[in-house]
Amino acid sequence: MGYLLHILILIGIYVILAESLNLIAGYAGLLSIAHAAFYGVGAYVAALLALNYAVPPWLTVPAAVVAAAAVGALVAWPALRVRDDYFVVATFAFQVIVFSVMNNWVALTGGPLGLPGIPRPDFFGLTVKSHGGFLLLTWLFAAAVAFVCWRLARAPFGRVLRALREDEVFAAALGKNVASFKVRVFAIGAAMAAVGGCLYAYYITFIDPTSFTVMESIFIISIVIVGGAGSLRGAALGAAVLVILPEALRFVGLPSSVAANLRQIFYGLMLILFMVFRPQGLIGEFSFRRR
Amino acid sequence: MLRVQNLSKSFDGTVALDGFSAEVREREVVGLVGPNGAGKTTLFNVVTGFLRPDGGDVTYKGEGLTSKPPYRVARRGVARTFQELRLIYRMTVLENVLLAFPAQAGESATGAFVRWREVSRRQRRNREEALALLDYVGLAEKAGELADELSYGQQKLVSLACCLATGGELLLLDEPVAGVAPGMVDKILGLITDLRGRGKTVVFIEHNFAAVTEVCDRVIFMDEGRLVAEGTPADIRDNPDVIESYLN
Amino acid sequence: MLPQLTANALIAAGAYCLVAVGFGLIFATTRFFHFAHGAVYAWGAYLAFLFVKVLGLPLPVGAALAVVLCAGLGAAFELVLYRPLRARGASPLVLLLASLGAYVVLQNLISLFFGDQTQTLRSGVVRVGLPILGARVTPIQLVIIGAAVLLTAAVWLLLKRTRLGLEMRAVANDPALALVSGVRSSRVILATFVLGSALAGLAGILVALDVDMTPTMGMNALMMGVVAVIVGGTGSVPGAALGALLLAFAQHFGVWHISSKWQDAIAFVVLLLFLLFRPEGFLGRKVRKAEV
Repeated sequence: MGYLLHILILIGIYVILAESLNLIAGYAGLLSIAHAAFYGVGAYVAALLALNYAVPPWLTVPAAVVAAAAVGALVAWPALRVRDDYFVVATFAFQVIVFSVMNNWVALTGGPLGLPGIPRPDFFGLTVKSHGGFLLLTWLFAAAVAFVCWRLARAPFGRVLRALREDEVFAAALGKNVASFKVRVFAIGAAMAAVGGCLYAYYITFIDPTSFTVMESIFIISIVIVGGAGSLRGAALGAAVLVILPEALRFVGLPSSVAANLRQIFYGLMLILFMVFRPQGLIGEFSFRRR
Repeated sequence: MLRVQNLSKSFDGTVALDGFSAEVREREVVGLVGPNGAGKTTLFNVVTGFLRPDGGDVTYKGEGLTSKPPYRVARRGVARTFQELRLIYRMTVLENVLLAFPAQAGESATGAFVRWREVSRRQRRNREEALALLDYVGLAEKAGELADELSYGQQKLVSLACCLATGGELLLLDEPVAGVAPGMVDKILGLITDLRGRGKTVVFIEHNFAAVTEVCDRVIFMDEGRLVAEGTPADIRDNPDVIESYLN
Repeated sequence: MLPQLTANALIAAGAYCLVAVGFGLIFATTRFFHFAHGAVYAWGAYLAFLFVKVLGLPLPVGAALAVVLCAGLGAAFELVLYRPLRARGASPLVLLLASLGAYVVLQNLISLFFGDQTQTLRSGVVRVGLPILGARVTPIQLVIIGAAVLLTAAVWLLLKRTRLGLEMRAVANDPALALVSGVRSSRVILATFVLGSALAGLAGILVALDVDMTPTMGMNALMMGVVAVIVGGTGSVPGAALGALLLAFAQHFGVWHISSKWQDAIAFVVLLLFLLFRPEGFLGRKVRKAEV
């Protein structure tokens, strides 16, 4: 039972990560492999504030969100200058730089050893520590994130994002400040990913840089692609599929390192297969092709 | 209304604009003609901010417009279409026109959440206006269709409707009737004429000289990045320099 | 101190150069980021390991065999994955994503077959290097530098003096024109994959002989190659070499006063600076945002 709840909590966190990346990559068409960096910034800011200054979660989460939004805005900058595949390389660079800071600035982040002993979140007297409690908390936040993405997508804001994705020259000719939208969508997406990071930190109570690597970013982008870029339900579906299916490997009795490799092979293969046969994903709208 | 002075622009050694100067007055319909490679689209790109000129300046209603980014140019009131017909094909016709409205509160991220009622009201008003514009260009019943599914001529009408939705008073149309069926050509030209009556100023690039003669108050003929001649359509047709340009 | 730093930088530059030249060649003709190049690099080292350490073949034989197989791996990517994708009009972004997926699969296959622990191709005891001009350089390190210089020059000559090279440059500069002029682009592209992948495989083997090897070695090597190509300028072989030199020197001298663990970060900061302010690199073609 605890295992099942654990999986559901993980799915919840990945739904948050996928929805937020979907806003950036699926709606605005800005493919990014820096998402794990935003996730990590959120986790580390929350963890550091909670560990070092006993800051309560209703303050650490906003702080984490703001920090990640700032990093997100920075990552958007190259998008204003270079073509989309060069931009992916730029996001890769940001991802590695952030990872480097997490891994090497030992005095601040604990380096490779990470930050153990993160206190359980305490919401005005109510401490969340059981699996059930975290399940509720995670899914509350996931619903909130999904709601925010839904409202933004349906609003004129979302329409401009889609226009940017399809033809930003046309959007600019209609008076849209393309640069401003790109920075904003990145800031918002990063902010939401940070929420996922906070949840992760409070749930596992231990974070280290290995959870926030390029591979993790690639995993998150696989979720968005498999589920379907530009679709809210697609992002959620992708999260469920890509978290659940590899778990089936555990029951086959393989040693855990082998299972870890097979899991990565699984989503790597998914990425290839979907790009070849169905780039719009299971139920998506955008297939990363420009007319 | 629009004045360009001494514009020059080169690409890797090829001169596209060579000290070009011209003026467009309010409520005029001006045809911009010239052989291929004359620099007509380059001129549009420079005026609308998609290209930075190497020299010269652009003034709109007395204020400088040179080297401003495209979105600022559009917001000042200069709307344009593209030679290669740009539209958001994956969106409906109505969505394309709605996209074009300026100053939408719903376009700010917070606008999706706060002052909900006011934003909704604005959106409804925009919707009515958009449908009215589509009706004006004769595409009201296509509002819900994907732009991709329209005929080429209809798509051109949509892009014209988008221009109008921006509220711009100066419309720069790049080959508005190229590649379009004859019935549609008349329709588009008719709209252009009507727009003058509604206070718009139109400059359009065109190869079809008959179309130009029919509709334009004035014609500007350019070649090799320079102004060769300007005047009424009749003046231009008989101008020896013009004839020579075409023969070269 | 200075001579040793310079030597270290040159050795690193040599390795980067081998990866960058191959990557750059592929990028120039196909115009997309073939991230799986990093996997070819890693597989070069591990195939050599298989032949030499597991099967007991002599080093030159094992290494040569590994290089050939890497060339084949590169060809396989082109034939099985990229060509069909391109035939369907895949954008560079789609190709990049497929390539990322391929990288992930191949890296994990290494982990599965060989394990995650650090291995080495070295056979003997770690020897102190020979003293050269005030620095200590081991024989294999000299080989790295030598191979980089010779092979880069060879590739450059290939491009300038042979028919195949001419065709490669044609496809790189103007694919449509090349096609119309009768150049068999698909053959040329296949050749660049074969050549580039062989170089990558060799680089992996040499580095594994010099230091050690892990399944993740490819990602880092690839990124250094990408940085070198972007800094030096896409579409230019001397550019890739120049970029490799600049990057290696920036890294080694940049960490002189700070810990060497920041080398990666330095590389990527350099990359970002170039992408933001000079995306065409020093000697390359313009790649700024599309305009009207």
